Amino acid sequence: MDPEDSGRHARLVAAQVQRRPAPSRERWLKPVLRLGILALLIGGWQLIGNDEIQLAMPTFTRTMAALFDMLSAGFAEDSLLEGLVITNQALVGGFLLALAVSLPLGIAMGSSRGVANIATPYLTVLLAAPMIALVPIVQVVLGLTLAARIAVVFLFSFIYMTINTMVGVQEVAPDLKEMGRSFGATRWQMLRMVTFPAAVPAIMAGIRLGLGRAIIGMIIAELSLIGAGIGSLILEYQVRFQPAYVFGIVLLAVLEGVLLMELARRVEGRFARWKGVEGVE
Amino acid sequence: MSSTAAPVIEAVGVGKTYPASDGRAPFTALSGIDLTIHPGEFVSLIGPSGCGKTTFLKMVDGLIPYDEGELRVLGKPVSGPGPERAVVFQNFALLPWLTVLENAAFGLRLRGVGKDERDRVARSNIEMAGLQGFESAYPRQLSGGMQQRVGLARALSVDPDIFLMDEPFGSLDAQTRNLMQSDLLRVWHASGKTVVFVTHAMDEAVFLSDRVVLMATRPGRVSEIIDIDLPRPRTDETRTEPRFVELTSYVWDRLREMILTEPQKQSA
Repeated sequence: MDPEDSGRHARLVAAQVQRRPAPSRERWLKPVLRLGILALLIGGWQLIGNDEIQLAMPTFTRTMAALFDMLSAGFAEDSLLEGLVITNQALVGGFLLALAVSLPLGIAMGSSRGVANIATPYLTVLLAAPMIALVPIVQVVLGLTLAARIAVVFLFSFIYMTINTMVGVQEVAPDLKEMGRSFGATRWQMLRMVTFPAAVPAIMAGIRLGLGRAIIGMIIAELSLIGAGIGSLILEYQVRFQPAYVFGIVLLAVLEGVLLMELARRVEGRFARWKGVEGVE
Repeated sequence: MSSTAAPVIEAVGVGKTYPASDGRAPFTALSGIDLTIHPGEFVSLIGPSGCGKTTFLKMVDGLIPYDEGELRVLGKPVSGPGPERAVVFQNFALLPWLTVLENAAFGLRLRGVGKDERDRVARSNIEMAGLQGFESAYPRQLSGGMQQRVGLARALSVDPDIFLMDEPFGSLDAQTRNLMQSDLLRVWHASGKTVVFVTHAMDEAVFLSDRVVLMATRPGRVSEIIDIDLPRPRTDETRTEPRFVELTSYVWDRLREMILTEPQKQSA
C-alpha cells in the first residue's frame, strides 16, 4: 500500500470511529426538549410569583431585575460581584487543597494494600458523617475566617476524589502492568507511564464529583459561617425584606455551579476519549 | 563459533508449586521441565489448558518466579525481566491512550532512548510488522490483527535476542491468523532471533516451528518434543503438503490421548 494512501486510510478510520453522528431526529429533539422544560419552569415560576407585595415570592422578571440591579454595581465595595469573588476564594482554595491531598493519598491507597487498610476506616467515617454537622466544629477551631471556609470546602470535596483515585489506580488492567514490568519499567516509570494515565478517566470523574461537592461546601460555608461574600449579602437582603435580591443571588450561585460542572464534564470527556467515552450526556 | 552454539534458553528440572492457601491444597503448576533452546530456533509450546505453558513462558521472561531447578537465559540464571527478552502478549497489552507509534516505541522510552531515535526505530519496525500508515492511529481504532502487529513492532523495537510469544494469535479469526503466521515467519527469518511461541492450535505450532514441545497437565510437564522437518521457507502451500497434515494429526493424536486419559478434572 502506498504510505500516503494508507495514512489517509488510517485517518479515515479514525474519523469514522470518533464521530458517529446521532440520528438526526434525536439531535434536534434533545435541545428542544431541554429548552422546553426550562421555559415551562420559568413560566411556572412567573405565575407562582407575586410582585404586588414586596415580601411575597418574587416572579422571574422581578428576580432578574434585582439581579441586574446588583450586577450594575460592578465590583464596587459590598457589591454582588465582589461578594462572589470573595466566596470563590474559599472554593478555589479548598478545591485545590483537596486536589493536592486526594491525588497522592488516592494513588498511595490504590497502590498499597497496607495504606488502603489504614486509611479506609477514616474515609468511611467522613463519608458517612453528615458534613453539615462538622461545620460548627470547624467554626470552633478556625473561627469565622477564610481558612474555616476553605476547610469546609475541602472536607466536602476531598473524599470522593480520594476514593475515585484509589479505585481508578486499583482497577488498572493487570496485563498492562505486566507488560510494563516485562519491558523493564521501574516503579516510578510504571506509575507515571502506565498506572496514572490508565487511572486518569476515573480520577477525572472523581474530580467532577468533588467539584460538585466543593460548590455545595462553598455555599454552606458561606451561609453558616457568614463569610464576607454572598452569604453576608443574602443575610443583608433578608433583613431588609428584599426577597427578589435574595433570589437573584441564589440564582447566580446556581448558574455558576452549573457552568463549572459543565466545564468539568467537558474536561473529563477530553481525558476519557481514548476509552471511547465522550463523557456522560 | 562456540558462543553461537551455546543454548539461548536452558531449563533443567524447572518446577513451580503454589503453597496451600485459603483451604486449598498446594498446587504444582510445573514439574521437572527440561528444555534447551538454541539460537535462532523457533520452538512452540502446546498442550491442554492447565499444562502451564504460559506459566513457563512467563518464567522465562522473569515475570513469574520458579522455585525448583535451574533456568538460564544466555547462560545467566533468570531473576527478572531483561532487555534480551521481549514478550508479545495474548491480549496485545497496548496502552490505549498512546498512538501506534508511541506504543511501538514504549519499550525504548522505558530505556531512556531519546524521542527522535526511538521514533525512528519504532517506525521501521511498524513497517516491518506491516502497519505502515497507521502510526498515528489509536489501538481501539484497529482490528485485533492490527493491534497484535503493534505488539510485534513493540517487541521488535527493543531488539531482543529472544521473542516470547504468548498465544499471540489466539483471539484472531482464522484468515487473519494465517496471514499473521506467514508475516511472523518473514520477520523471524529477517531477524534470525529465537522465538518461543505458546499456542493451543496444532496447525499453527507445526506450521511455524522447528520443534514442538508437547506439554501434559498435573503436574505441568514436558511430555514429548517433536521435530518438525518441513522445509523452509514455509508458505501457504506448506499447509497442504502430506507431511504437514501428517505432523499436525500426530500432534492432535497425542493431545487427544492426553485429554481423554486425564482423570476427571476438578476444573482448571
